[in-house]
Amino acid sequence: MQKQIDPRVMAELREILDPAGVVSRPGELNVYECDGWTIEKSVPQLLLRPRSTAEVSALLRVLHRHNLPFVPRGAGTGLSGGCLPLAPVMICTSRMNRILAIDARNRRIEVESGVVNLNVSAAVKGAGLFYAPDPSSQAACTIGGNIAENSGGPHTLKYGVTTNHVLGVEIVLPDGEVVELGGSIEEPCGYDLVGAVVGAEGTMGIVTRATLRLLREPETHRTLLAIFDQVEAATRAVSAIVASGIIPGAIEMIDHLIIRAVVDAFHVELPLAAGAVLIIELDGLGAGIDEQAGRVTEMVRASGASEVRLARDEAERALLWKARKRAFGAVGRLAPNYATHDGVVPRTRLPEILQRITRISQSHQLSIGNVFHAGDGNIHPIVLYDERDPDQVRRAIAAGHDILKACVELGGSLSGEHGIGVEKINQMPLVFTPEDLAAMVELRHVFDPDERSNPGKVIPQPGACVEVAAPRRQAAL
Amino acid sequence: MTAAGLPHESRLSDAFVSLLGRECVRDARADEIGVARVIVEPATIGEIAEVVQKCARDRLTLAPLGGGRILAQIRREPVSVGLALRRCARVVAYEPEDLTVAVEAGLTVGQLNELAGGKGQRLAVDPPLPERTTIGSLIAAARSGPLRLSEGTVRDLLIGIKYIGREGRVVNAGGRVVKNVTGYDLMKVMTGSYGTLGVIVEAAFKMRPVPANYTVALAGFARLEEAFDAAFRSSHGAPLLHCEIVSRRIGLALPGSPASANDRRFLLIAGLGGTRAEVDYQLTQIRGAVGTLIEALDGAAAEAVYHAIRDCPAAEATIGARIVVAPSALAGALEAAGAEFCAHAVSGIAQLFLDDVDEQAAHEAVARWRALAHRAGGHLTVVAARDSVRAGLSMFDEPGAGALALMRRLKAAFDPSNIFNPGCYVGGI
Amino acid sequence: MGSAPRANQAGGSASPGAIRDVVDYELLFDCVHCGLCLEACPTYTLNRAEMDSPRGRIYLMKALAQGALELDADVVRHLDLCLECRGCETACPSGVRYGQLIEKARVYVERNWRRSLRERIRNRLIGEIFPYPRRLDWLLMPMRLVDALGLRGTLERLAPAALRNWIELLPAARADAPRFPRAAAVHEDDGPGKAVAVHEGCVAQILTPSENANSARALEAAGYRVVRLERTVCCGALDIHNGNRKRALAFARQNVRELSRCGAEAIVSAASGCSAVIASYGELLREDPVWATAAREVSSRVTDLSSLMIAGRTPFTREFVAKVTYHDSCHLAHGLGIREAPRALLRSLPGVTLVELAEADLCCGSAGSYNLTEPEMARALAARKADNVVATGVDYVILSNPGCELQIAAELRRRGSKIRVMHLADFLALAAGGGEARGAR
Repeated sequence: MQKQIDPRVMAELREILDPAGVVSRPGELNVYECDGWTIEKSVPQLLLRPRSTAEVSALLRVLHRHNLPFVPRGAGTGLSGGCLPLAPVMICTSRMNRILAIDARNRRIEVESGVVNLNVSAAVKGAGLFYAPDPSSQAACTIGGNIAENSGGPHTLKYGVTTNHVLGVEIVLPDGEVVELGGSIEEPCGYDLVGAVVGAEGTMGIVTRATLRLLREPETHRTLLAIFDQVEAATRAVSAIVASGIIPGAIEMIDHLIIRAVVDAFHVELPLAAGAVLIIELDGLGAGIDEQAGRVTEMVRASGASEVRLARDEAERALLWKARKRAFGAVGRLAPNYATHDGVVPRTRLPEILQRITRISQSHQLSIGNVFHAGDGNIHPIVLYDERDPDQVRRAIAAGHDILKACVELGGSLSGEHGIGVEKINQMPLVFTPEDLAAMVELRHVFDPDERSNPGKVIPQPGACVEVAAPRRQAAL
Repeated sequence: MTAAGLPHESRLSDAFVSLLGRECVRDARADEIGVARVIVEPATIGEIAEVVQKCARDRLTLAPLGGGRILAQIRREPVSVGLALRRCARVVAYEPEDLTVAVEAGLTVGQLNELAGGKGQRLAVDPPLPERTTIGSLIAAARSGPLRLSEGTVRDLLIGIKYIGREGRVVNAGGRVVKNVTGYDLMKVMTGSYGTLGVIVEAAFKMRPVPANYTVALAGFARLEEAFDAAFRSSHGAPLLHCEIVSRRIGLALPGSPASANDRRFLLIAGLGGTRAEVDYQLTQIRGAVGTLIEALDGAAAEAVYHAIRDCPAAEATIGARIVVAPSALAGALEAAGAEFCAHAVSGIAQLFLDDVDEQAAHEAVARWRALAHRAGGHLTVVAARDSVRAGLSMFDEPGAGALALMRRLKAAFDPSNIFNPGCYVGGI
Repeated sequence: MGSAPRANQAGGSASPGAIRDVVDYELLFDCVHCGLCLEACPTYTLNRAEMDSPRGRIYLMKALAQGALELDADVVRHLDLCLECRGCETACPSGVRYGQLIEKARVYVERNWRRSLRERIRNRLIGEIFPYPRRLDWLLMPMRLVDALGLRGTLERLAPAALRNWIELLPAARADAPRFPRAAAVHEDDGPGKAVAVHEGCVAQILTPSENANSARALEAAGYRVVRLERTVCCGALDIHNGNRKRALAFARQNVRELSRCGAEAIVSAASGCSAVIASYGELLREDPVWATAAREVSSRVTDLSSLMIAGRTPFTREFVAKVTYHDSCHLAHGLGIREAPRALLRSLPGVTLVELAEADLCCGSAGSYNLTEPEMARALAARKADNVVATGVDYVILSNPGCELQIAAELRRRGSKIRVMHLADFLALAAGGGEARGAR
């Protein structure tokens, strides 16, 4: 049983915030019972919406005194249940959304953790700069959430993920203490605790501010669409490009099942008969880019592409990216429900993992589509099912497990960018030994000795496994 | 632990001889005497784990040595056991097509890059003297070089790690894939931990392609401010591989004595890479941005200049330090430092050094530099201090109180018996 | 409250409330809860709470439909606060038909929730006056007098707060509105010659009459044949937004009859809100035994002034130097998906420089009668819009809906800004040489 919040504690917490900052009526709290991972749900007893670090600290001090666990939340767009409320109190940073300082010379920006990812790039566009990590939810997700999940996106192939771009954070520890880690400098003094906090899925406290690194916008782009009869040929092309020494901004793959959905939804001109397409985006200097595009075109053709098209203008490029980034939504047209998975394999093992997925699809008699970050070996198999058939639901869950197991067997990992959350918590032993996990728990205890910050996430605890019931549709990436 | 409680050297080495065999245990060489009392050279990760277990049981302090140069600087008194990993220097898996590699910690960066060079790739972290820098020390001391501007540092390229932690426990984190958010990021925690949290035994990295062409652009400046302005403008105009500014002495010592160094005090050295067309284009961009005479070197001449700036002589100086500040504040700090320097100009990092100074002057210099670093929101680490000036110098700076408290907790959690390279890291950790 | 997460009960055993008969229950499940709609929602951008976001409201509707939630003041409040701007539909990757869902949820609310007396009176007033141009005209008579006597300021100072909002929104009498010059002689042959109907809406006829007239004249100048409409009525937008479905259907039928009969190949309205509603008649009258087919036909012909002007012959020969920005009216951008055409048209005008507006497609808070029923949120959104407008440093803000025009103009007037807010049709008239607007520089 979850601890009921004492009314006196409730009153103490209320006193800290403005009236709009406290949500305690059940009907309203209901809306916060899950994030983008909708298979599991749990309603918090109390939602707190602070506006400043001082408020967060004051709230956490009260919770510490009464030994109450809490779950931090950004925009709730996570895909692994990272902010599923397995604690009575939820603390949402969405109102802490001020951009505090832009330092164009040093290419830094300092923001509150509730600032939306896309707004960071928007704020510095005028200075010819951008913030590199671009998860597909970037129009809604917060920097705090990105830090928790170490979010990626298509362009991380060239530019890296969140952890490569966070220089400093202000974190409120579970006992309410405010600590500055890192700063505007390139190297920390002492241990790299910023690196420990990024990707910790909110289990070390609440990040309230961050100093981010900005990059200069590339001079120009070339976006290629390569069409293949066979998905294997497409994966060979990916290896060929990466091994050639050219690092594209992104290499994305869409297989035939998803092509069908995307053509229906967005009226992009893709051949329905194609086995797979690659979207390859090169960026860099105007001087060398056409030569690069030429080399990539040659390599792709040599790998067996039947056709290579170059986006002629910004509108064509935008359409390709729209089809790619929203492909998941379009999948809704193929089946009543779908579950998107997130695994990684070494890039050269892509042909094998796709063969395995085909076999898994056959053995569970479920359609599985693929649309993913091929350049990183980061796959997103989409398992189609109908929740009204309990047997299909069971098979869909089993297929997901089999896919992740196959990733690990091929030298890969459980998650490239969605995080562990509650979704994959029970699969962690596939990758890590009890000793590995013990070391991770020790790291967590440095920040959160009582495990009150986002309990029940990332590290499995014996006997506390979450029961997975009927999955609903899930959005992705 | 007092010296009286320590086993005698010979008893100590006997204990490890029985554990590992005669050929794996030796006395400390002259340059290692201040670092460790006995040196063990285990041949496998299993043996390293056994050594750590034994140390934990017998409460013996230990430290991984790497090339021994860094520990010789930071240790005040020797640990009982020095771990030399030269026998653990295998390439575990190199997948050129995946651009990933997994290697044991005793391999040097130079050895790895010789292998990778055959595939047109490299581990794109370039500390001074890579042929003497082991992978273990590269990570443990978070070493980096000029390429950090374009390729990042260990922190960005390290994708998996194996280390021996408390009680000889083998711990893995990360993996061998380039994108991975499975579990906590222990790679970051180990990077820059100076052997205080465990012994790094294996690491996996992202590899990078070596650019097809490499050109060095040089420009001399009379004023430091001008040099930095030019550096910022250049790096905004072109995606430079590196962008260094060096003081006069370094500039004059560059091989082939570039003309730009002769009559100016400060030399800007920018690295350009890519196809011929890209390099030429960037050169034009920089010429526009800098607005002064630029010399361009290619081929062997460019490589020679690059090696000279990478192997900045600060580590061999009487007193040398690494300053880390906000990039825009570096020029001001260097102006006031009164030292020779090699600067990663747009990263806000520089190595400062002085030669032929006495103890008092060295200490005053460090105090001055540290004050400058703090004023500019950064910190300073002493990287070289001759024996003559070393007494009483604190090598590391002090992090903020809140952060330091967490660091102490981290040390206590990962090394509860305080045996991993104790007493010489930040805050006396 | 148990600590174990409970399994999803989608389509589960909970007793279905009456809302299931009203909203299309299956449509609720198109939402995959990804959250991409959040920042596209004006109320979320300000309140930053899930309940005031599209996916949150869908969650509430679902809970109502599954019987997990009772209709209460909270729920009504969150549903009421939606502007129906449909910004979320543009952002949604899953094609959720949010507009349809909220419209029906409002019907359910109106049937099952007893509103306060004050709200009832207000809604009644809006419903009985606005859709009828003559009633509105009559009501505004005193205001015209006030304006003629130059007493607007005095009145605004003296009026009670609740009324002041309403008064401030009213534009001053528009004797000085630009008028598209007839001089640009029309050659029927070199234009597209297509027949176009200009639906005049209801409120727009009285408050901003120049816009329909200028639309018609501009189209003629571009070579179109503009057909006269005899008996169109209010498009029904207000009723749809306020859950009065019955009268909305009646209005729709009458408009479909008239628009079918007139033989227009393209249908535009100076109020893009009306255009979007007409474009939805096909869906609205889907089950109508008589009008379903005709409604679909009519809907498919809806377009906008800028799209037609670009396709036509350009009547703009003289240079008109002005710096302008463009505000996307919700129902043009999110409803009809028209974003590029107005910008392209403005860019094509000799002498005109177009500056992009930050958050150009974020609702200004006008939203039909929303600024009258939810003045607080409406004002906050107007302020945000005005901040963005002022930051562009332009002379004119161009838009394509009278509601937005009144809303943004009122906010800029409060700030003493000199920036002119103009409907695209009026601006085209100005650019074509049809008289100088007051305040133009």
